[in-house]
Amino acid sequence: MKLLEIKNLYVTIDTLDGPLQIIKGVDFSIEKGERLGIVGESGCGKSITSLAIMALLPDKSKVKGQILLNGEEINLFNKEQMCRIRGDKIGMIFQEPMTALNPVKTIGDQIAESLILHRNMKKRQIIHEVEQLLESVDLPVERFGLNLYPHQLSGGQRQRVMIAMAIACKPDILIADEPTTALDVTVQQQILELIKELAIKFGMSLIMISHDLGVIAQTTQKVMIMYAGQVMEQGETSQVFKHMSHPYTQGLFAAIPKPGSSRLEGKKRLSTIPGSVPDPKSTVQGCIFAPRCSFSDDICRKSPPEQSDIAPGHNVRCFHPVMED
Amino acid sequence: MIITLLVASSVVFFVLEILPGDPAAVMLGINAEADTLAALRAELGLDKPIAVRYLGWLGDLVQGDLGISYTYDVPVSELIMERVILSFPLAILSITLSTLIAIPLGIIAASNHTKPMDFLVMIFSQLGIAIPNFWFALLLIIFFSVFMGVLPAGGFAGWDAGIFPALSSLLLPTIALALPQAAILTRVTRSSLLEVLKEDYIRTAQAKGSSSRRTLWRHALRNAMIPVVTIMGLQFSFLLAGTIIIENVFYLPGIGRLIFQAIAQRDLIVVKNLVILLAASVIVINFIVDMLYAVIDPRLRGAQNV
Amino acid sequence: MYERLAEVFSHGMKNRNFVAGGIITIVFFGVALLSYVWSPHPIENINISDKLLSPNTKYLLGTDHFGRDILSMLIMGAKNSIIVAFVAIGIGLGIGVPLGLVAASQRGWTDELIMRFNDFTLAFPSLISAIMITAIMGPGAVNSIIAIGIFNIPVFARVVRGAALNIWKKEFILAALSAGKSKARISLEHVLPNTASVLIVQATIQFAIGILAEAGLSYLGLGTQPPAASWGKMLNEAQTFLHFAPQLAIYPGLAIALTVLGLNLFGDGLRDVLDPKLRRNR
Repeated sequence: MKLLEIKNLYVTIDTLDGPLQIIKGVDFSIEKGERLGIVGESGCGKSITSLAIMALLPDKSKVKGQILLNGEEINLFNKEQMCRIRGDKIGMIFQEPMTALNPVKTIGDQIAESLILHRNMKKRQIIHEVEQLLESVDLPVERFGLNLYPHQLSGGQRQRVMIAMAIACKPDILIADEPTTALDVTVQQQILELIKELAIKFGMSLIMISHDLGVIAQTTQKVMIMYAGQVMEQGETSQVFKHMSHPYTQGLFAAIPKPGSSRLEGKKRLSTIPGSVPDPKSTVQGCIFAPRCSFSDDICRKSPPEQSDIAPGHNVRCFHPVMED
Repeated sequence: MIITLLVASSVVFFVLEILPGDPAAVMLGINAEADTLAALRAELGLDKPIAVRYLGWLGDLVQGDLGISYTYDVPVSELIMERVILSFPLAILSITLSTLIAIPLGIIAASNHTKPMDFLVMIFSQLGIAIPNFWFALLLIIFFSVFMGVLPAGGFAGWDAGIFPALSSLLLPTIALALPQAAILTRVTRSSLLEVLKEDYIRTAQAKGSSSRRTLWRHALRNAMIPVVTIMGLQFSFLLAGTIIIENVFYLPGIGRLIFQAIAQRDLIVVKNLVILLAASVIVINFIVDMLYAVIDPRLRGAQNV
Repeated sequence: MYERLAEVFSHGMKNRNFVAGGIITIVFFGVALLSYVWSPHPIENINISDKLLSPNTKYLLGTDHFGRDILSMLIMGAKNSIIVAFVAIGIGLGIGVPLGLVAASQRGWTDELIMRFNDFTLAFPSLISAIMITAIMGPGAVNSIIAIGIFNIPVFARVVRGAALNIWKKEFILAALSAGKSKARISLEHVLPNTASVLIVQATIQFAIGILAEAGLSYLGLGTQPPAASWGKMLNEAQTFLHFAPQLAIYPGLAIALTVLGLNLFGDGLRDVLDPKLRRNR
């Protein structure tokens, strides 16, 4: 049995201009201890997918499909049942450490909260556990007491506190939603390494959400490329990075500046994907990427492609996957 | 704080100086002889230059000597003390009552946002803001005094008459004063809570498995209190204005009624000191509000960065 | 201009507050206008034999202790409230808006001076100051208008300054500056029209506050003087007869509360319609 399985997930959000379909049929699964990356441009639905798993979407949204945790359909759980899952079975790290911590509560209180909610521990045990957690995210207790407030910490330190909070109950799954986007470049690496190490150390599965392919390459075993609410390409990270087959994936890679091809010496301009992400209000008949795809033809514009395997464990949603070699 | 008080005191003094109305003339009546008038003016020190009188007054003020009322012919400090023991409890009671009404209502409205309960609370709030407090006071008198006959329609027996009769004559005024305050505070509590509930850290708390009730109480409420405390501080000066009217409705011998009468009788020395007293209390309230901020929000407790 | 009005109106019709408040406000103004051409009974008529009557067919809402028709007095009171609140807003707009515009365009010490003066005026409980003003200058409708008007000045100055500061940041202002227009001209031609919507909303709210303040002053006997009718004055007189004729204390208060409620709802609705960004929580 898979640890987490998402089947045919659809998410619709009601807006003033009518319902918007943000997620259009997403399937994926994750095994115990496995690390999965979800990549895509902003607005592709990667964060919405994670919030759907946590059942933390805004009230105006509707979820269809199945979300199975250890075989249980948690999308049918009521609020109370879901509270017992969140923080205990699934932990989450958010993007903005500056705003994601409560400014009027000490970091000790905020880390302890998951333990108070999910573990039947005595106060002294909890304090001891929180100190251990701070140590494990490299915030030594001697310097970073439990009574500090978030505003007394730097961005990177706050993100470490966020991590300590998310892993407090050693959840089965840790979701990290763009955990380093808001941080200084120098700090980003340390935080990524820390998340990966902790996931391995405690045997947690990791879902790393990022728009940055480098981050995914560094931290994950499997990857899923999303575009406009659909999965475009999915497979082993090394396999997908070596043999990217969807034109969109190729576009994403081409848009990364490579070392040694800086503006001074290289004559090639950094390539971009022409056009822009489709308006979620519009309905596309064929392939959702077709309007921006240089390989598209009449078939692409007539009917939408299904996900199909091109190698064991590597599938692509495209009529004309690019085959190199 | 002291500078603000000094500025306020000088403004009040000079504004009252340039206004028409000779206190000596008021005291002696319109038929007074010119030389008796002059003698009284000299006795009161009204013939001295304005700057000398200001400094003299300020010196006395610091020593707690507020002068003698022209019309009541008793020391102003005594006069004010007599009234404060009524007005101060009245103000405290109504602030307490309005807070006790407003914060729960605001919480109920915000946690039932867009549901009928929210709508009901907002109707209460709109009505409370629209209903003039003196009319509400009259309605209370009609209901509780005229029809039910359970509470006095006005007057104050004094604290010597026993705590229960005294409180019962303060009950209706307290309610009348608290209503508009509660209405505004409810609105502020609700909108502030709704604003805070959209913050990222609320989602973080939920991601830890905190229920929506727990999140509201443990995470949202304290953050939402910052604007509420601000408004409570601002409301204090409206409360002072409210006491003037409400004390008149209920014939309560308090500060509000005293200032009203003193102004009407041109008892400038009483007016002067009362206005200073009110300004000082507004300043003190602001100081308390600032301290409350620091209690609520650790970011305002002074930097102690690691 | 006409199109903008039509747009505001069509959006407004979907807003509950706008519709409810608008209807009450229109009725209130209609009644006040009506008083110029017709009222059931002239209120100067003192008819002691008809005093303190309950509602009947001749006097729809009964009579007061002088035998004056309550309904007619309410209608005249509406007129009185409108005049006082309106002129007071005129004072606030006339002095406050230029102050706010100057503060926003000059910045520096001019701004500082104007805003400190504002804070100072706002810090004093307005009713206390209004009582001082009316008590010293003598009670009466004109003095109460001035007293209320003075407290509209800092309110409008602050609102206009805030809105104007945002507009001064816009590119088209920069364009006008580089075209050699003076700050004063830009303030009048570009900034002022763009602050209109905030001003209209604030004016609605100040209107409601003005009506409450007028009623309060008249209740204390410092506002409108007899024989002119005022809602606050009516409440004051009614208090003497609470035991015999409690209904006298009901109608004027109801009139004040309904009018203020209507104006506040209308103001809230108008703000939502004019500025959708502020809609969220109200």
